[in-house]
Amino acid sequence: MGSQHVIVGSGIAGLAAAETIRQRQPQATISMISEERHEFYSRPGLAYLLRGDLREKQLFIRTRQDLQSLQLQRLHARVEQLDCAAHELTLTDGRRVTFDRLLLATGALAVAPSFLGGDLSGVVTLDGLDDTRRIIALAKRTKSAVVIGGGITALELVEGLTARRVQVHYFLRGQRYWSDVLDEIESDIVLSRLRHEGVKIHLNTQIDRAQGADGKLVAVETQAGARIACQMLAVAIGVRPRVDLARQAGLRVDRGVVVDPYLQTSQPDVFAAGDVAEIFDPQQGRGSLDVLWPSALAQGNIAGANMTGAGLTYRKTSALNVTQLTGLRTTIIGAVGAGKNDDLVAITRGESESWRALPSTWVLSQRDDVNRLRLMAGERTIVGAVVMGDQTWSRPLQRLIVEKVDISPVCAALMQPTDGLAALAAFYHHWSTHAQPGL
Amino acid sequence: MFEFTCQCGKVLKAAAELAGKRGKCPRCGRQFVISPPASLSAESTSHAAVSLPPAPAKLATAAFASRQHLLSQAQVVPDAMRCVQCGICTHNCPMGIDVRAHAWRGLAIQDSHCLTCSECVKRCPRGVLNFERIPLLATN
Repeated sequence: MGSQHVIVGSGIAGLAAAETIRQRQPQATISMISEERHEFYSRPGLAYLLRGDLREKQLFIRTRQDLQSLQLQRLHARVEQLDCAAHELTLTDGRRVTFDRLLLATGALAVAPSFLGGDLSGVVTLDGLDDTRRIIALAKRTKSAVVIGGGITALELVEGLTARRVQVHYFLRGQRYWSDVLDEIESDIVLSRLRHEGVKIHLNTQIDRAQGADGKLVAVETQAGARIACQMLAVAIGVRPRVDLARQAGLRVDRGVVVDPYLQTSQPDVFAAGDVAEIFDPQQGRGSLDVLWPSALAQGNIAGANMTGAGLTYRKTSALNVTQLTGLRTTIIGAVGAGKNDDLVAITRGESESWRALPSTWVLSQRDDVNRLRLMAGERTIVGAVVMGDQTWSRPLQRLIVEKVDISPVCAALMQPTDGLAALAAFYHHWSTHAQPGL
Repeated sequence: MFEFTCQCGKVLKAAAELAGKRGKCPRCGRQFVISPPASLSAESTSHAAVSLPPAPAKLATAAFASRQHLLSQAQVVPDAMRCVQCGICTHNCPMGIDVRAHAWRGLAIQDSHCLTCSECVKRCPRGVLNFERIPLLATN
């Protein structure tokens, strides 16, 4: 008989681990415990579903045949207790599940609102497919909505609701959107495009309370005393890893479940991957969080392999995300930090903590009306970039940053504001044709 | 009644007796002298109403053919690192190719049904897909 592998969570980290285990151990028993009853779907795709770019059935990423060959035992329940010493889980319905190896891939959940009236019907957060369905249904009965939060999810809500002809009021605590990643000019481009779409932006505005009648939201009141009638209040002030189970089991927990480079927790045979995992970096002496889908996928693969004894280490590369900000394709790579973000109380979905680092570097930026390019360069390498609009530079910069290419031959030329990019283009062309034979 | 086209592209109609009078395009506000397409060339000035320029049929076909020629040597190649499996590519493929499944495995689209129409490349919200020249010794 093969080993008993148990995975808690049905997000991409859980799925990737299950597929890797199945590939390496065709005889093993793999169980997956999740509260969600849906088949595997693309979570980042929810934004496109909300905006109406996709039909729901398009989000499911595995065919019936794929699922059959995976031979996964799905259990729909919540895990109440984890006993590491006995290698046993207790579910809320009383069932007990034993394991040889366990993976915690419980993900992260949106931070619940703390202001008065946060529990009214009409106050929503966006985590999974059920939330998205609820928001789409509610949008049909909604004339105006208030959105708060300063990251990708907040903007997805603003755009999705606007596309569904809801008048959106977007509250920002300060003057800028997503101020820990975007700089002032990038934020201005986003905000002016939102205004053009008809979104009402309320800068320097904080919510005081939500007002309701018969348990339903009817308005929000700002701290300055203004009252805005609305039928929906969408809160996207960040996500927090779901660590309760790990904490109760006595695993080492900081902001996430702390894991070593093998993605093993402080207990042998118990692994963690995805949004819930905080990967400890021995060089920096601290851990960091990534709430990025591709990172969760990569970690799921490594954790799955290690559950079968592969002994692989997870190597964090420069975090990359490509996202649509008000319809403008935007690539964010590496360290690009631009300040503090008061709109978020925790890391937001689609973000990496490594972006927030503000490198002690110089900046080359170029812009026209909607296109902007910002490079953060160190002594020898480019350490981060934001490419907004025109994506010509997106892939070249991805390679130069991720592969930590030594750009010192053109550093001096890059300092020239006018032909810096031309020099970099020539360098990239030469590097990609000579350093990479065969490409 | 005859039709003519303003420089902005708006197709306008005018009664025959209005020929020679001044007019204004309701879309772009340009002012012009209303003139039937036949008599246009002689008095075509900056404010004259301009009929559709003769369709550069040969030119367009040549450009199309050269694009087709280029695309016939290219294939859609995914960058799996950028993909989040949202499915917009598969949803928009007119030939029903499961582009997303290719992106998951990092495989180029070598399906003979692929028209290289670029719907998936253009619509991918994350720049995952790209046209790349088909290598002579394809390995995947």
